[in-house]
Amino acid sequence: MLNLIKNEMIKTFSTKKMYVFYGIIVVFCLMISLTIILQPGEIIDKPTGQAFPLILLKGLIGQIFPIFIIILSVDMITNEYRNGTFKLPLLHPVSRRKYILAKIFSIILLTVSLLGVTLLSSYFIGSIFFGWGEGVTIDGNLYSSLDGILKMLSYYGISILPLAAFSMLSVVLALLFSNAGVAVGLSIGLLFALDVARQLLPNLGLYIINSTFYIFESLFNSSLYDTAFSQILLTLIYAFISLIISDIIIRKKEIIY
Amino acid sequence: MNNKEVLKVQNLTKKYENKAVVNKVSFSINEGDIFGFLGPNGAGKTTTIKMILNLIKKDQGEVYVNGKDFSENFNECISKIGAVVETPKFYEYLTGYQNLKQMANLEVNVDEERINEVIKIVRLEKRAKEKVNTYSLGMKQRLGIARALLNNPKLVILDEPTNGLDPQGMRDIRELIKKLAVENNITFLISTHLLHEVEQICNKVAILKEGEIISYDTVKNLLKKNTETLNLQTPDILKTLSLLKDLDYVKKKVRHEEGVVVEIEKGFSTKLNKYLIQNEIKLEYSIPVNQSLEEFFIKKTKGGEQIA
Repeated sequence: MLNLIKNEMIKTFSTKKMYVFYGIIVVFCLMISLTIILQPGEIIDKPTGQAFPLILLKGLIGQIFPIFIIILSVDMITNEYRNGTFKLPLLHPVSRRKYILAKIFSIILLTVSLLGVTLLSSYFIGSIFFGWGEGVTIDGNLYSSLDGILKMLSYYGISILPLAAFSMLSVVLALLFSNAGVAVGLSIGLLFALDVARQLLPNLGLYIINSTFYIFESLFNSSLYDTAFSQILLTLIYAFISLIISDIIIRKKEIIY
Repeated sequence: MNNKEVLKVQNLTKKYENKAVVNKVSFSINEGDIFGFLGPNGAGKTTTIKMILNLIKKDQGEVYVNGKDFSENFNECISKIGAVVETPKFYEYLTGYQNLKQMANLEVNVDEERINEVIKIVRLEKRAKEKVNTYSLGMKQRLGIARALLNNPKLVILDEPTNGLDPQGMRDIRELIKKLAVENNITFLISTHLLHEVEQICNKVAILKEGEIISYDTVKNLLKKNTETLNLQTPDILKTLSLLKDLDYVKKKVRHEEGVVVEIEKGFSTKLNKYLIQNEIKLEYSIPVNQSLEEFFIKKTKGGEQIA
Protein backbone atom coordinates (compact mmCIF):
# COMPACT_ATOMS: atom_id res chain seq x y z
CA MET A 1 0.00 0.00 0.00
CA LEU A 2 2.75 2.45 0.97
CA ASN A 3 4.59 1.78 -2.28
CA LEU A 4 1.42 2.40 -4.25
CA ILE A 5 0.97 5.74 -2.46
CA LYS A 6 4.63 6.56 -3.06
CA ASN A 7 4.15 5.84 -6.77
CA GLU A 8 1.13 8.16 -6.91
CA MET A 9 3.11 10.92 -5.21
CA ILE A 10 6.04 10.56 -7.60
CA LYS A 11 3.68 10.68 -10.59
CA THR A 12 1.74 13.67 -9.29
CA PHE A 13 4.79 15.74 -8.42
CA SER A 14 6.39 14.91 -11.78
CA THR A 15 3.70 16.97 -13.48
CA LYS A 16 2.96 20.66 -13.03
CA LYS A 17 -0.53 20.19 -11.65
CA MET A 18 0.17 20.43 -7.91
CA TYR A 19 2.52 23.37 -8.39
CA VAL A 20 -0.23 25.15 -10.32
CA PHE A 21 -2.66 24.45 -7.47
CA TYR A 22 -0.18 25.82 -4.94
CA GLY A 23 0.30 28.84 -7.19
CA ILE A 24 -3.45 29.42 -7.37
CA ILE A 25 -3.65 29.35 -3.57
CA VAL A 26 -0.87 31.94 -3.28
CA VAL A 27 -2.50 34.13 -5.94
CA PHE A 28 -5.83 33.77 -4.12
CA CYS A 29 -4.10 34.89 -0.88
CA LEU A 30 -2.64 37.92 -2.62
CA MET A 31 -5.94 38.82 -4.29
CA ILE A 32 -7.90 38.69 -1.04
CA SER A 33 -5.19 40.71 0.74
CA LEU A 34 -5.21 43.35 -1.98
CA THR A 35 -9.00 43.47 -2.03
CA ILE A 36 -9.09 44.04 1.74
CA ILE A 37 -6.48 46.76 1.50
CA LEU A 38 -7.98 48.52 -1.51
CA GLN A 39 -11.61 48.27 -0.35
CA PRO A 40 -11.39 48.22 3.46
CA GLY A 41 -14.60 47.23 5.23
CA GLU A 42 -16.54 46.46 2.06
CA ILE A 43 -15.97 42.72 2.08
CA ILE A 44 -14.31 42.13 5.36
CA ASP A 45 -12.73 44.17 8.14
CA LYS A 46 -8.97 44.41 8.00
CA PRO A 47 -7.67 41.30 9.76
CA THR A 48 -4.30 40.61 11.36
CA GLY A 49 -1.82 38.18 9.86
CA GLN A 50 -2.80 35.71 12.58
CA ALA A 51 -6.49 35.79 11.64
CA PHE A 52 -5.93 35.73 7.90
CA PRO A 53 -5.66 31.89 7.58
CA LEU A 54 -9.25 31.57 8.78
CA ILE A 55 -10.47 33.95 6.07
CA LEU A 56 -8.61 31.92 3.48
CA LEU A 57 -10.01 28.64 4.76
CA LYS A 58 -13.55 30.00 4.57
CA GLY A 59 -12.89 31.31 1.09
CA LEU A 60 -11.34 28.16 -0.36
CA ILE A 61 -12.99 25.22 1.31
CA GLY A 62 -16.42 25.50 -0.27
CA GLN A 63 -15.46 25.37 -3.91
CA ILE A 64 -11.78 25.73 -4.71
CA PHE A 65 -10.55 22.74 -2.68
CA PRO A 66 -13.37 20.47 -3.92
CA ILE A 67 -12.54 21.46 -7.52
CA PHE A 68 -8.86 20.62 -6.89
CA ILE A 69 -9.94 17.28 -5.45
CA ILE A 70 -12.14 16.55 -8.47
CA ILE A 71 -9.25 17.33 -10.83
CA LEU A 72 -6.85 15.13 -8.85
CA SER A 73 -9.32 12.22 -8.77
CA VAL A 74 -10.10 12.43 -12.45
CA ASP A 75 -6.43 12.69 -13.30
CA MET A 76 -5.47 9.70 -11.16
CA ILE A 77 -8.34 7.50 -12.23
CA THR A 78 -10.29 8.52 -15.33
CA ASN A 79 -7.30 9.92 -17.23
CA GLU A 80 -5.09 6.97 -16.36
CA TYR A 81 -7.86 4.58 -17.32
CA ARG A 82 -8.28 6.23 -20.71
CA ASN A 83 -4.51 6.50 -21.27
CA GLY A 84 -4.09 2.79 -20.59
CA THR A 85 -1.82 3.26 -17.56
CA PHE A 86 -4.46 2.43 -14.94
CA LYS A 87 -3.98 -1.27 -15.62
CA LEU A 88 -0.20 -1.28 -15.14
CA PRO A 89 -0.10 -1.91 -11.36
CA LEU A 90 -2.85 -4.51 -11.79
CA LEU A 91 -0.38 -6.63 -13.77
CA HIS A 92 1.59 -7.00 -10.54
CA PRO A 93 0.67 -8.52 -7.19
CA VAL A 94 -1.65 -5.66 -6.29
CA SER A 95 -5.29 -6.17 -5.41
CA ARG A 96 -7.84 -3.85 -6.91
CA ARG A 97 -9.07 -2.87 -3.46
CA LYS A 98 -5.59 -1.85 -2.30
CA TYR A 99 -5.00 -0.02 -5.55
CA ILE A 100 -8.07 2.19 -5.23
CA LEU A 101 -7.49 2.74 -1.51
CA ALA A 102 -3.96 3.91 -2.31
CA LYS A 103 -5.36 6.38 -4.82
CA ILE A 104 -7.87 7.68 -2.26
CA PHE A 105 -5.18 8.09 0.42
CA SER A 106 -2.94 9.83 -2.09
CA ILE A 107 -5.67 12.33 -2.94
CA ILE A 108 -6.23 12.94 0.78
CA LEU A 109 -2.49 13.47 1.35
CA LEU A 110 -2.34 15.90 -1.55
CA THR A 111 -5.36 17.73 -0.12
CA VAL A 112 -3.55 17.97 3.22
CA SER A 113 -0.61 19.51 1.38
CA LEU A 114 -3.00 22.04 -0.20
CA LEU A 115 -4.31 22.92 3.24
CA GLY A 116 -0.74 23.21 4.50
CA VAL A 117 0.26 25.57 1.71
CA THR A 118 -2.88 27.61 2.37
CA LEU A 119 -2.09 27.90 6.07
CA LEU A 120 1.56 28.83 5.57
CA SER A 121 1.03 31.23 2.68
CA SER A 122 -1.88 32.96 4.45
CA TYR A 123 0.21 33.46 7.60
CA PHE A 124 3.10 34.74 5.51
CA ILE A 125 1.17 36.98 3.13
CA GLY A 126 -1.26 38.08 5.84
CA SER A 127 1.63 39.15 8.07
CA ILE A 128 3.22 41.12 5.23
CA PHE A 129 0.02 42.95 4.33
CA PHE A 130 -1.65 43.31 7.72
CA GLY A 131 1.10 42.75 10.27
CA TRP A 132 1.29 39.86 12.70
CA GLY A 133 -0.85 41.51 15.40
CA GLU A 134 -1.00 40.98 19.15
CA GLY A 135 -3.12 37.89 19.18
CA VAL A 136 -6.18 36.70 17.35
CA THR A 137 -9.89 37.16 17.90
CA ILE A 138 -12.04 34.24 16.88
CA ASP A 139 -15.79 34.16 17.51
CA GLY A 140 -15.40 37.14 19.82
CA ASN A 141 -12.72 35.50 21.96
CA LEU A 142 -9.19 36.83 22.10
CA TYR A 143 -6.42 34.24 21.94
CA SER A 144 -2.69 34.59 22.44
CA SER A 145 -0.46 34.00 19.41
CA LEU A 146 0.36 30.45 20.47
CA ASP A 147 -3.26 29.59 21.24
CA GLY A 148 -4.27 31.27 17.99
CA ILE A 149 -1.87 29.13 16.00
CA LEU A 150 -3.09 25.97 17.75
CA LYS A 151 -6.68 27.02 17.07
CA MET A 152 -5.87 27.60 13.42
CA LEU A 153 -4.17 24.21 13.19
CA SER A 154 -7.30 22.60 14.65
CA TYR A 155 -9.51 24.38 12.12
CA TYR A 156 -7.35 23.25 9.25
CA GLY A 157 -6.92 19.79 10.76
CA ILE A 158 -10.61 19.11 11.21
CA SER A 159 -11.23 20.36 7.64
CA ILE A 160 -9.35 17.31 6.40
CA LEU A 161 -12.29 15.17 7.47
CA PRO A 162 -14.99 16.56 5.12
CA LEU A 163 -12.44 16.99 2.32
CA ALA A 164 -11.39 13.35 2.72
CA ALA A 165 -15.04 12.27 2.50
CA PHE A 166 -15.44 14.44 -0.59
CA SER A 167 -12.30 12.83 -2.07
CA MET A 168 -13.89 9.41 -1.66
CA LEU A 169 -17.10 10.60 -3.32
CA SER A 170 -15.07 12.16 -6.10
CA VAL A 171 -13.23 8.86 -6.65
CA VAL A 172 -16.59 7.12 -7.12
CA LEU A 173 -17.49 9.62 -9.85
CA ALA A 174 -14.05 9.29 -11.47
CA LEU A 175 -14.46 5.51 -11.54
CA LEU A 176 -17.86 5.75 -13.17
CA PHE A 177 -16.69 7.67 -16.22
CA SER A 178 -14.09 6.83 -18.83
CA ASN A 179 -13.88 10.34 -20.27
CA ALA A 180 -11.96 12.90 -18.22
CA GLY A 181 -13.87 15.91 -19.61
CA VAL A 182 -17.22 14.37 -18.80
CA ALA A 183 -16.02 13.30 -15.34
CA VAL A 184 -14.70 16.77 -14.43
CA GLY A 185 -17.71 18.57 -15.94
CA LEU A 186 -20.30 16.42 -14.21
CA SER A 187 -18.46 16.38 -10.89
CA ILE A 188 -18.10 20.16 -10.80
CA GLY A 189 -21.70 20.54 -11.98
CA LEU A 190 -22.82 18.27 -9.17
CA LEU A 191 -20.71 20.21 -6.65
CA PHE A 192 -22.39 23.49 -7.59
CA ALA A 193 -25.85 21.91 -7.77
CA LEU A 194 -25.40 20.49 -4.27
CA ASP A 195 -24.18 23.84 -3.01
CA VAL A 196 -27.25 25.56 -4.43
CA ALA A 197 -29.48 22.84 -2.97
CA ARG A 198 -27.80 23.30 0.42
CA GLN A 199 -28.60 26.98 0.41
CA LEU A 200 -32.12 26.74 -1.03
CA LEU A 201 -33.30 23.77 0.99
CA PRO A 202 -32.07 24.28 4.56
CA ASN A 203 -33.63 21.04 5.89
CA LEU A 204 -32.34 18.85 3.09
CA GLY A 205 -29.12 20.82 3.04
CA LEU A 206 -28.11 19.33 6.37
CA TYR A 207 -27.64 15.99 4.64
CA ILE A 208 -25.61 17.31 1.72
CA ILE A 209 -21.87 16.79 1.89
CA ASN A 210 -21.15 20.47 1.17
CA SER A 211 -22.69 21.41 4.51
CA THR A 212 -19.89 19.53 6.28
CA PHE A 213 -17.13 21.59 4.66
CA TYR A 214 -17.61 24.28 7.31
CA ILE A 215 -17.38 21.85 10.19
CA PHE A 216 -14.58 23.94 11.74
CA GLU A 217 -17.10 26.71 12.42
CA SER A 218 -19.29 24.51 14.58
CA LEU A 219 -16.87 22.05 16.16
CA PHE A 220 -15.07 24.64 18.26
CA ASN A 221 -18.19 26.54 19.20
CA SER A 222 -19.88 25.03 22.26
CA SER A 223 -23.32 26.27 21.20
CA LEU A 224 -23.03 24.34 17.92
CA TYR A 225 -21.81 20.98 19.23
CA ASP A 226 -24.95 19.20 18.05
CA THR A 227 -24.43 20.53 14.55
CA ALA A 228 -20.78 19.51 14.66
CA PHE A 229 -21.69 16.02 15.80
CA SER A 230 -24.22 15.55 13.02
CA GLN A 231 -21.70 16.91 10.50
CA ILE A 232 -19.04 14.44 11.65
CA LEU A 233 -21.56 11.62 11.45
CA LEU A 234 -22.65 12.72 7.99
CA THR A 235 -19.01 12.91 6.86
CA LEU A 236 -18.36 9.39 8.10
CA ILE A 237 -21.50 8.10 6.39
CA TYR A 238 -20.49 9.71 3.09
CA ALA A 239 -16.97 8.30 3.43
CA PHE A 240 -18.17 4.81 4.31
CA ILE A 241 -20.75 4.62 1.52
CA SER A 242 -18.29 6.04 -1.02
CA LEU A 243 -15.68 3.46 -0.02
CA ILE A 244 -18.16 0.61 -0.38
CA ILE A 245 -19.31 1.84 -3.79
CA SER A 246 -15.71 2.36 -4.98
CA ASP A 247 -14.88 -1.16 -3.91
CA ILE A 248 -17.85 -2.60 -5.79
CA ILE A 249 -17.07 -0.60 -8.93
CA ILE A 250 -13.34 -1.40 -8.99
CA ARG A 251 -13.94 -5.11 -8.45
CA LYS A 252 -16.39 -5.21 -11.35
CA LYS A 253 -14.64 -2.74 -13.62
CA GLU A 254 -13.53 -4.04 -16.98
CA ILE A 255 -10.11 -2.60 -17.74
CA ILE A 256 -10.67 -2.09 -21.44
CA TYR A 257 -8.03 0.54 -22.18
CA MET B 1 10.75 -27.45 -24.45
CA ASN B 2 9.36 -29.82 -21.86
CA ASN B 3 5.97 -31.02 -20.72
CA LYS B 4 5.64 -28.76 -17.69
CA GLU B 5 2.49 -26.78 -18.24
CA VAL B 6 3.03 -23.08 -17.55
CA LEU B 7 -0.35 -21.78 -18.69
CA LYS B 8 -3.58 -23.63 -19.25
CA VAL B 9 -6.68 -21.90 -20.54
CA GLN B 10 -9.94 -23.80 -20.49
CA ASN B 11 -13.21 -22.85 -22.17
CA LEU B 12 -12.58 -19.14 -21.84
CA THR B 13 -15.69 -17.28 -22.93
CA LYS B 14 -16.61 -13.61 -23.05
CA LYS B 15 -19.96 -12.29 -24.16
CA TYR B 16 -21.02 -8.74 -24.91
CA GLU B 17 -24.76 -8.27 -25.24
CA ASN B 18 -25.24 -12.03 -25.48
CA LYS B 19 -22.82 -12.30 -28.40
CA ALA B 20 -19.72 -14.36 -27.68
CA VAL B 21 -16.62 -12.41 -28.73
CA VAL B 22 -14.46 -15.19 -27.30
CA ASN B 23 -16.04 -18.61 -27.32
CA LYS B 24 -14.73 -21.60 -25.36
CA VAL B 25 -11.09 -20.90 -26.07
CA SER B 26 -8.79 -23.60 -24.70
CA PHE B 27 -5.07 -24.11 -25.06
CA SER B 28 -2.04 -24.84 -22.98
CA ILE B 29 1.54 -23.64 -23.08
CA ASN B 30 4.47 -25.69 -21.87
CA GLU B 31 7.70 -24.42 -20.43
CA GLY B 32 10.01 -23.16 -23.16
CA ASP B 33 7.27 -22.73 -25.76
CA ILE B 34 7.00 -19.65 -27.89
CA PHE B 35 3.29 -19.83 -28.42
CA GLY B 36 1.76 -17.85 -31.27
CA PHE B 37 -1.77 -16.64 -30.75
CA LEU B 38 -2.70 -15.86 -34.30
CA GLY B 39 -5.77 -14.23 -35.74
CA PRO B 40 -7.01 -11.27 -37.73
CA ASN B 41 -7.74 -7.96 -36.02
CA GLY B 42 -10.92 -8.29 -33.99
CA ALA B 43 -10.65 -12.06 -33.64
CA GLY B 44 -10.60 -11.82 -29.84
CA LYS B 45 -6.88 -12.15 -29.11
CA THR B 46 -6.59 -9.12 -26.83
CA THR B 47 -9.87 -9.92 -25.10
CA THR B 48 -8.55 -13.42 -24.36
CA ILE B 49 -5.27 -12.03 -23.02
CA LYS B 50 -7.15 -9.54 -20.83
CA MET B 51 -9.27 -12.36 -19.44
CA ILE B 52 -6.15 -14.41 -18.74
CA LEU B 53 -4.69 -11.45 -16.85
CA ASN B 54 -7.91 -10.76 -14.98
CA LEU B 55 -8.24 -7.28 -16.48
CA ILE B 56 -11.69 -8.12 -17.77
CA LYS B 57 -14.06 -10.62 -16.28
CA LYS B 58 -14.62 -13.93 -18.00
CA ASP B 59 -18.15 -15.20 -18.41
CA GLN B 60 -16.94 -18.77 -18.36
CA GLY B 61 -13.74 -20.76 -18.18
CA GLU B 62 -10.62 -21.16 -16.09
CA VAL B 63 -7.03 -20.05 -16.26
CA TYR B 64 -4.26 -22.01 -14.56
CA VAL B 65 -0.70 -20.82 -14.09
CA ASN B 66 1.74 -23.57 -13.09
CA GLY B 67 -1.30 -25.68 -12.25
CA LYS B 68 -2.84 -23.09 -9.93
CA ASP B 69 -6.18 -21.42 -10.49
CA PHE B 70 -5.39 -17.82 -11.43
CA SER B 71 -8.56 -16.34 -9.89
CA GLU B 72 -7.96 -18.00 -6.54
CA ASN B 73 -4.20 -17.41 -6.42
CA PHE B 74 -3.92 -14.04 -8.11
CA ASN B 75 -0.81 -12.75 -6.36
CA GLU B 76 1.12 -15.98 -6.72
CA CYS B 77 0.15 -16.43 -10.37
CA ILE B 78 0.66 -12.83 -11.51
CA SER B 79 4.11 -12.74 -9.94
CA LYS B 80 5.16 -15.43 -12.43
CA ILE B 81 3.88 -13.46 -15.41
CA GLY B 82 5.13 -10.41 -17.27
CA ALA B 83 2.82 -8.83 -19.78
CA VAL B 84 2.46 -6.11 -22.35
CA VAL B 85 -1.18 -5.66 -23.29
CA GLU B 86 -1.90 -3.81 -26.54
CA THR B 87 0.48 -0.98 -27.45
CA PRO B 88 2.70 -0.54 -24.38
CA LYS B 89 1.51 2.39 -22.29
CA PHE B 90 3.69 4.44 -19.98
CA TYR B 91 3.62 7.48 -17.77
CA GLU B 92 4.95 9.59 -20.60
CA TYR B 93 6.11 12.41 -18.31
CA LEU B 94 8.45 10.05 -16.44
CA THR B 95 11.74 8.66 -17.75
CA GLY B 96 12.08 5.08 -18.92
CA TYR B 97 13.94 4.28 -15.71
CA GLN B 98 11.28 5.93 -13.53
CA ASN B 99 8.57 3.97 -15.32
CA LEU B 100 10.37 0.74 -14.50
CA LYS B 101 10.94 1.90 -10.93
CA GLN B 102 7.20 2.49 -10.54
CA MET B 103 6.53 -1.16 -11.30
CA ALA B 104 9.58 -2.40 -9.41
CA ASN B 105 8.13 -0.74 -6.30
CA LEU B 106 5.18 -3.13 -6.52
CA GLU B 107 7.30 -6.26 -6.56
CA VAL B 108 9.06 -7.82 -3.59
CA ASN B 109 12.40 -8.81 -5.06
CA VAL B 110 13.06 -6.27 -7.77
CA ASP B 111 15.92 -3.95 -6.91
CA GLU B 112 17.75 -1.25 -8.85
CA GLU B 113 20.24 -3.80 -10.10
CA ARG B 114 17.43 -5.73 -11.77
CA ILE B 115 16.07 -2.53 -13.31
CA ASN B 116 19.48 -1.81 -14.84
CA GLU B 117 19.72 -5.43 -15.97
CA VAL B 118 16.44 -5.34 -17.92
CA ILE B 119 17.37 -1.96 -19.40
CA LYS B 120 20.56 -3.58 -20.65
CA ILE B 121 18.70 -6.61 -22.03
CA VAL B 122 16.52 -4.40 -24.22
CA ARG B 123 19.45 -2.12 -25.06
CA LEU B 124 17.99 1.11 -23.73
CA GLU B 125 20.95 2.12 -21.54
CA LYS B 126 21.57 5.36 -23.39
CA ARG B 127 17.98 6.58 -23.29
CA ALA B 128 16.74 5.18 -19.97
CA LYS B 129 17.09 8.52 -18.17
CA GLU B 130 15.07 10.39 -20.80
CA LYS B 131 11.35 10.98 -20.68
CA VAL B 132 9.26 8.35 -22.43
CA ASN B 133 7.45 10.97 -24.50
CA THR B 134 10.68 11.34 -26.50
CA TYR B 135 10.83 7.60 -27.33
CA SER B 136 10.05 6.05 -30.71
CA LEU B 137 7.46 3.28 -30.90
CA GLY B 138 10.22 0.70 -31.21
CA MET B 139 11.86 1.98 -28.03
CA LYS B 140 8.52 1.90 -26.25
CA GLN B 141 8.03 -1.71 -27.32
CA ARG B 142 11.46 -2.55 -25.94
CA LEU B 143 10.76 -0.67 -22.72
CA GLY B 144 7.47 -2.58 -22.49
CA ILE B 145 9.37 -5.85 -22.75
CA ALA B 146 11.82 -4.61 -20.10
CA ARG B 147 8.90 -3.87 -17.81
CA ALA B 148 7.47 -7.33 -18.44
CA LEU B 149 10.83 -8.89 -17.54
CA LEU B 150 11.29 -6.98 -14.27
CA ASN B 151 9.91 -9.69 -11.97
CA ASN B 152 11.91 -12.53 -13.58
CA PRO B 153 8.73 -14.06 -15.01
CA LYS B 154 8.32 -17.66 -16.15
CA LEU B 155 5.77 -16.58 -18.74
CA VAL B 156 5.77 -13.39 -20.78
CA ILE B 157 2.63 -12.37 -22.64
CA LEU B 158 3.16 -9.94 -25.48
CA ASP B 159 0.21 -8.53 -27.37
CA GLU B 160 1.21 -7.66 -30.94
CA PRO B 161 4.81 -6.85 -29.96
CA THR B 162 5.87 -5.77 -33.45
CA ASN B 163 2.77 -3.78 -34.31
CA GLY B 164 3.61 -0.48 -35.97
CA LEU B 165 7.35 -1.13 -36.14
CA ASP B 166 9.55 -0.77 -39.21
CA PRO B 167 11.15 -3.98 -40.59
CA GLN B 168 14.36 -3.46 -38.61
CA GLY B 169 12.39 -2.81 -35.42
CA MET B 170 10.32 -5.97 -36.02
CA ARG B 171 13.47 -7.99 -36.53
CA ASP B 172 15.05 -6.60 -33.36
CA ILE B 173 12.03 -7.55 -31.26
CA ARG B 174 11.85 -11.06 -32.73
CA GLU B 175 15.54 -11.61 -32.13
CA LEU B 176 15.12 -10.39 -28.57
CA ILE B 177 12.23 -12.80 -27.95
CA LYS B 178 14.17 -15.75 -29.36
CA LYS B 179 17.22 -14.81 -27.30
CA LEU B 180 15.21 -14.48 -24.07
CA ALA B 181 13.48 -17.80 -24.69
CA VAL B 182 16.80 -19.59 -25.12
CA GLU B 183 19.06 -17.76 -22.68
CA ASN B 184 16.60 -16.98 -19.89
CA ASN B 185 14.30 -19.98 -20.36
CA ILE B 186 11.26 -17.75 -20.62
CA THR B 187 8.02 -19.08 -22.06
CA PHE B 188 6.22 -16.68 -24.40
CA LEU B 189 2.65 -16.17 -25.49
CA ILE B 190 2.69 -13.82 -28.43
CA SER B 191 -0.47 -12.57 -30.04
CA THR B 192 -0.08 -11.42 -33.59
CA HIS B 193 -1.86 -11.04 -36.87
CA LEU B 194 1.39 -11.58 -38.76
CA LEU B 195 1.67 -15.13 -40.08
CA HIS B 196 5.33 -14.94 -40.95
CA GLU B 197 6.05 -13.81 -37.40
CA VAL B 198 4.58 -17.04 -36.07
CA GLU B 199 6.49 -19.05 -38.66
CA GLN B 200 9.72 -17.31 -37.73
CA ILE B 201 9.67 -17.52 -33.96
CA CYS B 202 6.89 -19.76 -32.64
CA ASN B 203 6.93 -23.49 -32.11
CA LYS B 204 3.23 -23.76 -31.27
CA VAL B 205 0.24 -21.86 -32.57
CA ALA B 206 -3.47 -21.41 -31.96
CA ILE B 207 -5.40 -19.76 -34.75
CA LEU B 208 -8.32 -17.70 -33.62
CA LYS B 209 -11.15 -16.63 -35.86
CA GLU B 210 -14.26 -14.78 -34.72
CA GLY B 211 -13.56 -15.70 -31.12
CA GLU B 212 -13.04 -19.41 -31.69
CA ILE B 213 -9.92 -21.49 -32.06
CA ILE B 214 -9.97 -23.09 -35.47
CA SER B 215 -6.54 -24.73 -35.29
CA TYR B 216 -4.19 -25.50 -32.47
CA ASP B 217 -1.00 -27.50 -32.86
CA THR B 218 2.72 -27.20 -33.31
CA VAL B 219 3.68 -25.08 -36.31
CA LYS B 220 5.52 -28.12 -37.68
CA ASN B 221 2.42 -30.32 -37.52
CA LEU B 222 0.18 -27.70 -39.06
CA LEU B 223 2.44 -27.47 -42.06
CA LYS B 224 2.75 -31.22 -42.44
CA LYS B 225 0.65 -32.75 -45.24
CA ASN B 226 0.46 -35.73 -47.55
CA THR B 227 1.20 -33.89 -50.75
CA GLU B 228 4.11 -31.85 -52.00
CA THR B 229 4.13 -28.98 -54.44
CA LEU B 230 6.62 -28.42 -57.26
CA ASN B 231 7.12 -25.38 -59.41
CA LEU B 232 8.11 -26.79 -62.83
CA GLN B 233 9.75 -24.10 -64.94
CA THR B 234 9.66 -25.00 -68.62
CA PRO B 235 8.92 -23.42 -71.99
CA ASP B 236 6.91 -26.59 -72.96
CA ILE B 237 3.91 -25.65 -70.91
CA LEU B 238 1.14 -27.20 -73.04
CA LYS B 239 2.98 -30.47 -73.55
CA THR B 240 3.71 -30.68 -69.83
CA LEU B 241 0.06 -30.10 -68.97
CA SER B 242 -0.95 -32.78 -71.39
CA LEU B 243 1.52 -35.29 -69.91
CA LEU B 244 0.45 -34.50 -66.34
CA LYS B 245 -3.14 -35.42 -67.23
CA ASP B 246 -2.23 -39.12 -67.43
CA LEU B 247 -0.54 -39.32 -64.01
CA ASP B 248 -2.70 -40.55 -61.12
CA TYR B 249 -0.33 -39.18 -58.44
CA VAL B 250 -0.85 -35.62 -59.71
CA LYS B 251 -3.53 -33.97 -57.60
CA LYS B 252 -3.59 -30.45 -58.95
CA LYS B 253 -1.86 -28.38 -61.64
CA VAL B 254 -1.86 -24.65 -62.23
CA ARG B 255 -0.33 -23.00 -65.27
CA HIS B 256 1.70 -19.83 -64.90
CA GLU B 257 3.84 -17.67 -67.18
CA GLU B 258 7.04 -19.64 -66.74
CA GLY B 259 5.65 -23.13 -66.34
CA VAL B 260 3.32 -25.18 -64.14
CA VAL B 261 2.84 -25.53 -60.40
CA VAL B 262 1.89 -29.08 -59.62
CA GLU B 263 0.69 -30.71 -56.41
CA ILE B 264 1.59 -34.40 -56.22
CA GLU B 265 1.46 -37.22 -53.71
CA LYS B 266 4.39 -37.20 -51.33
CA GLY B 267 7.46 -39.11 -52.61
CA PHE B 268 6.70 -38.86 -56.32
CA SER B 269 8.82 -35.81 -57.21
CA THR B 270 11.84 -37.77 -58.57
CA LYS B 271 9.56 -40.03 -60.60
CA LEU B 272 7.79 -37.00 -62.06
CA ASN B 273 11.02 -35.26 -63.02
CA LYS B 274 12.32 -38.43 -64.74
CA TYR B 275 9.02 -38.90 -66.56
CA LEU B 276 9.03 -35.36 -67.91
CA ILE B 277 12.66 -35.58 -69.05
CA GLN B 278 12.04 -38.98 -70.72
CA ASN B 279 9.20 -37.32 -72.65
CA GLU B 280 11.61 -34.65 -73.87
CA ILE B 281 10.26 -31.82 -71.76
CA LYS B 282 12.86 -29.11 -71.46
CA LEU B 283 12.73 -28.81 -67.67
CA GLU B 284 14.76 -25.79 -66.60
CA TYR B 285 14.00 -26.01 -62.89
CA SER B 286 11.88 -28.15 -60.58
CA ILE B 287 11.52 -26.18 -57.37
CA PRO B 288 9.82 -27.59 -54.25
CA VAL B 289 7.28 -25.15 -52.84
CA ASN B 290 6.87 -25.27 -49.06
CA GLN B 291 3.41 -24.74 -47.71
CA SER B 292 3.43 -21.60 -45.63
CA LEU B 293 1.31 -20.90 -42.62
CA GLU B 294 -0.32 -18.22 -44.71
CA GLU B 295 -1.58 -20.81 -47.21
CA PHE B 296 -2.70 -22.98 -44.31
CA PHE B 297 -4.53 -20.08 -42.72
CA ILE B 298 -6.21 -19.07 -45.95
CA LYS B 299 -7.43 -22.63 -46.46
CA LYS B 300 -8.70 -22.79 -42.90
CA THR B 301 -10.44 -19.46 -42.89
CA LYS B 302 -11.47 -19.52 -46.54
CA GLY B 303 -9.94 -16.14 -47.18
CA GLY B 304 -7.74 -15.10 -44.34
CA GLU B 305 -8.87 -11.53 -44.55
CA GLN B 306 -6.75 -8.93 -42.75
CA ILE B 307 -3.87 -11.32 -42.35
CA ALA B 308 -0.64 -9.83 -43.57
